[in-house]
This record gives sequence, C-alpha cells and structure tokens, in this order.
Amino acid sequence: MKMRRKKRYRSTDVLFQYWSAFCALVIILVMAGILAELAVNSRLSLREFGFGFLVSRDWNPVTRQFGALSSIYGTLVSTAIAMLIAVPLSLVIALFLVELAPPALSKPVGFAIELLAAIPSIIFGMWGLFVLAPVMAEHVQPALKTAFGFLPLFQGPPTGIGMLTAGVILSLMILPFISAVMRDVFAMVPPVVKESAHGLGATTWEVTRKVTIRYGAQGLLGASFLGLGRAIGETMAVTFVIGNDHRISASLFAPANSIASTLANEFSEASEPLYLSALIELGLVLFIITLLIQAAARLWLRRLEKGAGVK
Amino acid sequence: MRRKSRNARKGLDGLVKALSSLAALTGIVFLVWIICEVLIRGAQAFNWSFFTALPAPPGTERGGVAGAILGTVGIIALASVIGIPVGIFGGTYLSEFGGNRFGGVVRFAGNVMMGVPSIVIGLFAYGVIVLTLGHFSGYAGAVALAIIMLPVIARTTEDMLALVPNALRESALALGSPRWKATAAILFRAAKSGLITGVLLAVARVSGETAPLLFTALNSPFWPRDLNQPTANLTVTIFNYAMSPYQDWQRIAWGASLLIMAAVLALNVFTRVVLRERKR
Amino acid sequence: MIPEVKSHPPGAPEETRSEVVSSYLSAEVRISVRGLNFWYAGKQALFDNNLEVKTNKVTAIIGPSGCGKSTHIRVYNRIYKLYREQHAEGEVLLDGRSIMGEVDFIELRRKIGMIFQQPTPFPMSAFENVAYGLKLHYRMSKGELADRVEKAFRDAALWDEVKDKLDAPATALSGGQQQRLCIARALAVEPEVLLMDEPTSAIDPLATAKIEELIESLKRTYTLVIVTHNMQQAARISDFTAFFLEGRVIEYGITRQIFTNPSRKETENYITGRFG
Repeated sequence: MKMRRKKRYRSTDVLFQYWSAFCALVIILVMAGILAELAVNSRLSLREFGFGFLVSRDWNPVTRQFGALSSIYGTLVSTAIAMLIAVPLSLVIALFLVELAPPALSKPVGFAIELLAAIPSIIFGMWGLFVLAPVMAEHVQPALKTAFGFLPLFQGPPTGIGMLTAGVILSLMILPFISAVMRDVFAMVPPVVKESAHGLGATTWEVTRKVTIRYGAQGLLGASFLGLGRAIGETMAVTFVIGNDHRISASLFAPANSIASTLANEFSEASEPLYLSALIELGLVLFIITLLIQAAARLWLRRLEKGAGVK
Repeated sequence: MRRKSRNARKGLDGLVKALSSLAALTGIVFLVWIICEVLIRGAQAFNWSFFTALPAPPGTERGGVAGAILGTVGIIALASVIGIPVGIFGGTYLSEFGGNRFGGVVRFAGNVMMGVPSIVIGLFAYGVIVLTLGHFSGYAGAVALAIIMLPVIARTTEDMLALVPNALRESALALGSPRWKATAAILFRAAKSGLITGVLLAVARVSGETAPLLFTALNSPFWPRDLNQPTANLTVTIFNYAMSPYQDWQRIAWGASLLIMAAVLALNVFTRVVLRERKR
Repeated sequence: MIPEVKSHPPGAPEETRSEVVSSYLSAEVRISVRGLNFWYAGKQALFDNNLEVKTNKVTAIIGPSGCGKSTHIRVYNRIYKLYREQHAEGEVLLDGRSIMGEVDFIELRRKIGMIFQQPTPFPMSAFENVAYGLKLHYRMSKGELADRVEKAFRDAALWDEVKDKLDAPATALSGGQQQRLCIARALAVEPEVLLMDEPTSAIDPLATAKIEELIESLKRTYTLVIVTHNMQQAARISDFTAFFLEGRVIEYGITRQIFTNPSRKETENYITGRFG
C-alpha cells in the first residue's frame, strides 16, 4: 500500500519538474526563434542589398531600393535627445526622492513617477501629437530658432512634428523608468556611509556627488541602459510625432523616421515581397542593436564591479 | 593651502536642491497634464453609440468602439491564458530547481527578451503565425502579447517565490508532502499577493500595446466573432483614427485612449495600493 | 545638575590621588551639555542630560543597549538633523559657544569628527578616502595633499600598513584597518573632538587592542568621546565615564571612581553585571 502511493507521488513530482522546466525552456526557444525568424524572413532583402543596406540612404518602394540608414539615423538621434534630457533629470529626481523630500512628499511623488511609467506609449503618442506638437510649434521651436537659429540644428520650418518633438516625448517616456531605478539605487546606500561623509562636514550635494553616486555607480548606469533600451525600441509615441519622412536632415525640426516608426507606418502598405523583406530586415537590425546594447551594458557593469571595490 | 569658500559650497548645495525639487515637480506636472488631457478629450467622446456601435465612416457621428472593446478583451484574455501559466511555471522552475546552468541560460534569455522592443515581437508573431497560416488573426495577436508577458511573469514569480523563507519549504517537505503539492498548496499561497501583483502588472502592460497587434490582429470593423481573422481592438483603432484627418474619428481615438488609460492605471493603482496593504 | 564627583577615593595614597583628581577637575571643558532632551518622531529618548566633556581627555559613555548613548553623542555634531523626525532641545556648548540653533554645519562637523560602529570606507582607494575631507574643505597642491594624507595615516597608526596599497580599493583592507582608515579620514581635517560610537565592537580583539593603543595616543592632541558597551574597555582607556540608563545620565565622574566606588545604586548594579 505504502509503496504504491510513493510511486504515484514520485511520478507526479517528476512530471512537475519536467513541466516547469519545459516552461522555462520556452523562454529560450522564443528568444532563439525571434532571431531565426527575422533572419529567415529578411533573406530576400539580405540577398538583394547585402551590407549596403545598413548605409544606404535610399528608401523608395517604387524603384524598389531600400536602405536602413535614414531609419537608423532617426532612431539614434531621437534616442540621443531623449537620453540627454532624461538621464540628468532622473538623477536629480531620484536625489529629490531619497535625500531631500520630506516623507510626506516623497511617497506621492514616487507613486506619481511609477504611474507615469505605466501609461501606455500610445497615450503618450496621442498626447504628443495633439497637445505637445502644437506647443512645440507655437512656442518652443520658434524660441529655439530665435536664440540658436544660426546652428543647422534649429533651422527649417517649426512644424512641431519631427525629430525634436519625438526626442522630447521619448524622454518623458523613459524618465520614470530611469528615475525609479536610480531612486532604488540611492536608497540602498547604507545610511552610515552617508553619515560618515556628512560627519566630515560635507554638504548634501557633496555627499551625493562623491560618495552616493560612486557607491551606486553600477546601478545608476544600469538604470541609464534600461532607459536607453526602452527608448531605442519605442514605437507608438515616436510614430505619432516623428513625421514619417525618410530624409536625413541636420535640423532637429525636420521630420524623420525611426526604425520602429518605419515599421509601424509602412507595414500595412508593404504589398510586394522585397518591400516586406526589407521591413523585416529593419526589424532584425533593431533586434541586433537591442542585443548589442544589452551586451555592452553587461560588460560595462562587470568592469565597474572590478574597479570600484564596492561589495 | 587655502580654505574653500563655505558660502560657495552651500550655494551650490542650495542650487542643486532647488533644481531637484523643480525636476520632481516637472515630472508631476507632466503626469497630471497628460491624464487631464486624456480625461477631458476622451470624455467628450463618451456617448451611447461610442460604447455600443461598430465603426462607421467618418463624418457620420454614429461610430463606436464596441467591437474593439470586445476584441481587446478577447485578445488579452487569450494571451493571459497562454502566457500566465507558462510564465508562472517557468518562474517556479527557476526558483525551485533553477540553480544550475540551464537556469542561468533561461534567466539570461528572459532578460534579453524583456529588452526586446514589442514591435519586434510583433514581427516574430507575424512570421511564425500569420505567414504560416496565410492570414492575419486575433490568435497571432494573442500569441504576440503572451510572448511579451512571459518573461515578465516568470521573473516576478521567481522573485516572489524566492522571498518565501526556506523554512517553509522544508517544513512542508518534512511532513512528507510531495514537491508539487508543497509548491502548489503552500508556496503559491504564501507568495500569493506578490504573484497576483506580477500577473496584473503584466496584463496592464500588454493592454496598452499597439505595435505587436499591427502585424498580427490588424483591425476590423466587424464584431470579433472569430479570433481566426483580423480582430477589432482598441489600440490599433486609436492608431488608425488618430492619424486620420477626421475630427470625429480623432475624438473616438481620444475616447478609446481614455478607456485604455483608465484600465491600465486602475490595475496599477489596485496592485500597488490594495495588494500592498494585504502583504503587510 | 552634575552629580558630584567624589574627591577622596578610597584605598590609594592621598597625595597622588588628589593630584590626579585636581588635574582632572581643572581640565578645560570642551563640550558642555545642559538639559538636553531628544525625541524620535515624538517619542522622547533623552531626558534632561547634563554632561561635561573635558579637553584632551577620553570620556567614555557606558550603559545597557538602547539607553541613549549613541543618540546623545549624535547631538554633538548634529548628525541627527539628516532625519526629519528626530528633534533635540537644550543647551550644548562647544568651547563656550552654542551648537544648537543656527549653526554652520560644515564647520561644526569639521571640528567634531565621528567614527561609527561599522567601518565605513567610501568606494574609492585608501588614499582618496583620506583625501576626501581635505579636498572638501581646502584647495591645495598635489604635493601638499599627499603630505597631509600621509600625516593622517601616521596619526592613525596605519601608514606602514597601507603605504604600498594607497591606490587599492579601501574595501580590500581588513576590518581593523578599515576602521583605522576611518579614523585617519576624520583626523585629516584636523578636528578638535572625535566622537566614537562603539568603534571596536565589530573588530577582532587583536585589531581592537591596536585601536585602543591609538586612542591613548590620540588624546594628547584631541578630545575623545567613546560610546562603548564594553565596560572593561571603558575602564581601560577612559579618563571620565558617564553612565546612561533609559535616556538619563545617572552618574558621571572620573573613571576610577565610577568603577571602584560608584555613588548610585544603578551604576553599581550595571558595573557589577547585575543587568545590562
């Protein structure tokens, strides 16, 4: 009697272990699958354009000439703008939340930041298109033009739809992610370490700059990379306001295209196989860029770990 | 050796403090601004036909997103049915048995996957399902969403289960309970609120996704009777209508945005406020 | 009201005893505390503390855990001000001038250094740790910085052990070395007073002995206040001892007298190990 019962349980247990292992395996399979599928479905375009795809400025469905450069350019520049705005802002917001705010304020502000992170990107897109773009066109861009119009960055008609607006919306989107992680990093610095620095007669900013930030450098960098990864692949918010134009222009006011916005805008129109394949190859490029960023982040963090001597 | 100016140091300190308060304020201002705009503009779209009618041509003022609402609910439900169990069991494996090399690889793959843009996942679902079956479908959309949910749920499950003290596991097993029973009956219950939080947040996350559906479920002006065809859904509707030049369509887009935003925020607030209380 | 210090301790030859006592009694007062009260978020933790910290002497603060010892000394450098829910009232004078109220924290904390229970090396090299305070307050040439850092290490009896590892991360040092590093770091900015909150409770006995030796030599130049739960340590290294119980100063006086002839029952009970 006893022996039979044990056997049944043992097999159920084994089943349980194998089933959960299989579910875990699915994750690996899907990841590999993505890479494989993208590569397979872009083979038409790969064969046709080869490596020139990456550096070609063409994008002409009519003459069937496709090149990723304009999309890559748009992705990189809009992301750069977003990072330039969001990273320093996130740092001081995290500083505010952990060091400066009275407990009565830090909880609701922290909560508000978390909610901002939860808002879907299409909402940001809507808001960007109908609310932010007019503001950019009527106030911000003309002001920039007056002040800095001698730079090629700020020339051209201030329509409100273009690279700059896309970058601003992106920065708003990644801001809550980066600041939430940075806040956690700051909060993990042991109070005694901060007190030691204060005890030497340092001001709050001096403690933050030389001790807290160093202590949490890994985490702060991780937060930034997190934001970077998010910004690179962001689709809807950017698609609404970037202007869907495959031109590469020096001006930030000009419309442009990111990889994601190209895919979103043109996929439904891609009727013939080469067009489709070119779009999928764009997706492959995006995927590989994402992988590279993740790899770079990991390597950098590992190097930091060895150098700073922080446990 | 000269003494540094104390006033200069204090001045810099004060400046940084002022800047950070300003920055924090800016964050809140934008949040409030966005929510208000969506509320105001979205509410203007709310009327009887908005909630009950199917899409109509622009200018008729009769259109609605009833089909899209059903479609979104259906796709998300299917995605949950696929993604939640696989995610939970995957996370359980990682937590209970996953200290080995295989577990390391799984975690790595999961991290990578979480960083993959959702549009790429949409492309994947397109290639694997739409191309294979030969047509767009709500199924493909659900699969795409499930793939997005999968690593998130696995990670939170692993984290929540890891928080359960080993003593609890050991006491269950010491009583002679088989592993699966200990996990299901005791561990899951102990980590219940954390697990539910993880699941709800993942659902909230995919509810607002548009890009993956662009290549899979597309959109449809009909009632979503059969998920094996292009299926109406709120997010792609918003995309199509917002980019159109028609005022009434744009208004509908705002209304749909309000629906989505309300659902997502409600889920987030619920998990953070209600479930957190219970954990304490 | 400061509990009276007995001037005729029993047992020893009268002459030397009264010499010692009078030299102690006439020593300058560095920090004077009167009527200090302290609250943690509305809950009172210190009640009407009175104390005098004498210059160039070691004052030990003993008492059972949770009796307010650390809280008390954290008022001296007002480090409690970092936390909004902590609040202190009363008179605390440093060299006759009040440190409560509107005061320059930078200068106050430069003058009063603090060592914590766990060593707190900053995430930088040993050299940079000690240089941190110097670079905060002063502008100086590289050569001068190097000289001062070396001096601080020597004053903390750590130079010989770190002079070849100055650029290695400070966390690579042993626990006892890390604590002496923190002492060197505090000494670099030339304070007047050193507050030590259980400085050796997290250190092994051999390193503890080294630090106690260091304390003995430091008192020639600095005024030291040491919180300790180790009575033998207090008896070994301090000149004055204050006994705290439940947020109050029960008794305060010359260490020898406190330990051999305490005037309060509670003190006697604690010292003889009846509780704590």
